[in-house]
Order: sequence, then C-alpha cells, then structure tokens
Amino acid sequence: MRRPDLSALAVGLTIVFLGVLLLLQENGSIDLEGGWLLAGVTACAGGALLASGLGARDT
Amino acid sequence: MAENEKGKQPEAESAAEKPRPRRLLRSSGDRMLWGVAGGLGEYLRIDPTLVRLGFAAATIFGGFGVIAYLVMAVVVPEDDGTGKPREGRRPPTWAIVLLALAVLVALPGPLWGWGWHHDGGWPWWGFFGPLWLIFLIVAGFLVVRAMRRGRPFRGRREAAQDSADATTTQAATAETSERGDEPPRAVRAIALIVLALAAICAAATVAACAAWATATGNGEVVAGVVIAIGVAIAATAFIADARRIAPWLLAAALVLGLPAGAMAAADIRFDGGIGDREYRPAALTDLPADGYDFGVGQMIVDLRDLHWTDGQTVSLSSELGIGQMIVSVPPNVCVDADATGKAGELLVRGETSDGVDLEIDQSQPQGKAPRLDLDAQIQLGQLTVTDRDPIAVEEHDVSDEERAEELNSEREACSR
Repeated sequence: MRRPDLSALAVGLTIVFLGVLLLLQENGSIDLEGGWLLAGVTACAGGALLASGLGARDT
Repeated sequence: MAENEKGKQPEAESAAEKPRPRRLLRSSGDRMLWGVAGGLGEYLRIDPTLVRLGFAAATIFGGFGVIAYLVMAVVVPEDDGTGKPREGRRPPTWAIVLLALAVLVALPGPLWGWGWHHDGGWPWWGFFGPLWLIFLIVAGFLVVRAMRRGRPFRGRREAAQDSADATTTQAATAETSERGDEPPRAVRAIALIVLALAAICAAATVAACAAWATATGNGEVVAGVVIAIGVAIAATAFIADARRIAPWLLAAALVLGLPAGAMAAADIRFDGGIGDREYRPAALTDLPADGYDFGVGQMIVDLRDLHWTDGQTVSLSSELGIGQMIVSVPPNVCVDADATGKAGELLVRGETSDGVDLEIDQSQPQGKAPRLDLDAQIQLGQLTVTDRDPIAVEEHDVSDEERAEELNSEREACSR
C-alpha cells in the first residue's frame, strides 16, 4: 500500500475544517463573533499554507 | 600555452553540449487551436488541461482569457517540432508594442479609475483604479522573476558569461545567431504578465462571487464547495500526483473560503434584489408587516401620501445592503429613528452620522404630532430620512442650510 502524502492530508483536513466552520456559522449552529470567526478562518488558511509549504520543502 | 589550449577545448565542448534553455513556444503537437495552452503547459511543466481550464475561467469571469490567448497566439513563436521557434514567424517589435498598448487601452474603465463615479457607484474606484493596474503589473513582474529564478530565460549576465566561455569566434557567432531566433525577452515578459493578469482577474472575480453568494444568503453553498475541495485535497494524498494537484486545489479553496469567511465575519447581508425600488404606500394597510428589505441599489420609501393623524404612531422597519435608501415623510411628522449602518452616511431629519459603525438613536418624546417609529439598517451606503421630495434628495446633496432647516422642522413637529 502506498504511503499517503501527509502534507496533502493535513492541507485537505484543514480546508475541510475551514468549510465546516463556515457551514456551521451560515446555518446558525454556531454563532461566532466577527473577530473570532475571522481569526478562525485566517488560522485555517494559514495552517493549510504552512502544511503545504512544509510538504513542498520536503520534496 | 599548449596546455592551456588543451584545457580550454573540453570546456568549449561542454559549453556546446549544454542543454538549450527552455523556451516559451506554441506547441505544434499538443494543440486545440494555436497551441498556446499546450506550449504554456510544456514551459511551466504543468498539465496543459489546467492551463486550458485557466483560460476558460478567465474568459468566463471577465473575458481576460480571450485577450491573453490572442496576445500569446500573436507574440509567442510556434515550435517547429524540435524545440526551436519556427523560422520567419516572429512578429516585428512595433507590432508587439502596438498590441500591448491595445490590450492596455482595452482594459475595462474601472481599472483606470473612471466610469464608476456617478449615481451611487463605487467612488473609491476613482482612487484605487490606477493602483489596481500598477499592482497587477508588479504582480506579473514578480511572477516572471520567480519563474526566472526557478528555470527559464537567460539574462544578459548569463549570456555574457556564455560568450566569455566560448573559445572561438566561430562558436560565439553561432551562439549569437542561435539566440537571435528566440523571441525577445520583452515579448515573453509581456506574455507572462498578460497571463498573470488573466489569472489574477479570474481569481478576483471568483472571490467576488463567493463573497456575493455569502452576502446574499448562499454561504452554505460556498462552504459546501470548500469542504468538497478539502476532501479532494485529502484524497490526493493517496495518489501519485498529490504534489502537482494539491496546490491548485488549495488555491481554489482559499480564493473561495477567505472572502466568504470575511463576509460572514463582517455579517454583511444583502437580500432582496438589485436595482431601484420605489414604494409609495397610500394607506397603512399597504405597509408590509415585516418592513422593506432590499439588496443592492436605490430604495425609496415615500410616506407622504399616507393619511397621518395627530397622536398616531406608525412603525416601520427597512433594510438595505449596499446603496442609497431615502425615506420621505410629511414635515409635520415626528420621526423617532433607530438607524444603524456598517459604513457610509446616515442623515435623519438633520442629524448625521458618517464613517464606519454608524448609529443614530433618537428618543423623541411622545406628543400630539403623528409619529414614525423607524427601524432602519444599511450595510454600506447612505440613508436619508427627509421631509423633502425623494427626487430632490437624489439629484443633489443636502446642504448645511437644508440640514438645519430639517432639524428645526423635526424639533418643531416633535415638540407639539
């Protein structure tokens, strides 16, 4: 079995988390204040970019 | 001396055997029209299908894909099948310069900072227009520079180094002649800048669509697409081409997710349509129970035809996303408004609030005069509550004198 690319996996899961965060906020399941939501969104984006960059460095 | 001659010989041979620099050429083998996408794919070492999708996206979202493709079809030479430009196909420099100028002139007006100054348009385009253009050109330049660092074209210094390495006049002449077949560096730079412009414009348009969808209550769709892309990225971890595909998917997810998140965080909503709306209720029963709600544009609520009686209180709520809202009442009506806005200007019977986080919260005493309890919200734009004709408000700004008159009129009505 092929060993999965961990950086791609981390990037994918981070983006899924970003999407879930947006989805929950939109349908009202959570009600984050603007600042917290923005912090969460940028943290997800930053995490995904970081994982992608680390993966590229290891290539 | 003889040893020196011998020492130089292998160097000259290795210089002659050095692989030719990779060139941006239109593909003669992988082509659907003129081989631009195929050539770009070979040059950038990416799947030409992705390049074609990029051109298609840039064409749909703003039309830059067509311009970029046509420019590259003209200025990029065709591959003769051996990795060299086909002889005699290079356009003259003056034609290239004219084409570049034509593309710049053909750019939409807002990019130059004009065309959006009137009738409730976006006044900041007047300031940011030229900056946009400069930003795009600098971005294109950085793309070219980054690509040069990775591989591509040889600069003057490298070319001079090659010439110094050449040991015979014949070899130097042959090298110069060979380089003469290459398209000028300026041409390739223009092509890459135009491609970068197309990509940036396409990304900006997709981001705007995501923001728009979120603001109009369709954020769940955007979130669903972002989740799907995330799952796709995670799935690429189990296939061989993960490192090639994942960055593109990541870029798409961020272009969609970040603006959607920003709009959700700012709680900017504009439901209710786009354009101009004018409401002129003649009786109280004409007033909608849940108030007036409009998305983007101009909304006029003219209440001067209502039959107002002393001691009567009329409650009304109205919401606007982006644009201008004008509420007109008769001069004898006391307005008790609770108006808020994210950014722009509120003008309520002479009282003003402008900038960001706008609020006017009046607490008028209950008197004999008819009264309007107004709950008004705007996201971005202008709210005017006045006793004048909405058309007059629309046609010119309210002067200080008119504002003072309205304030006096309001005080007089509310003190009855």
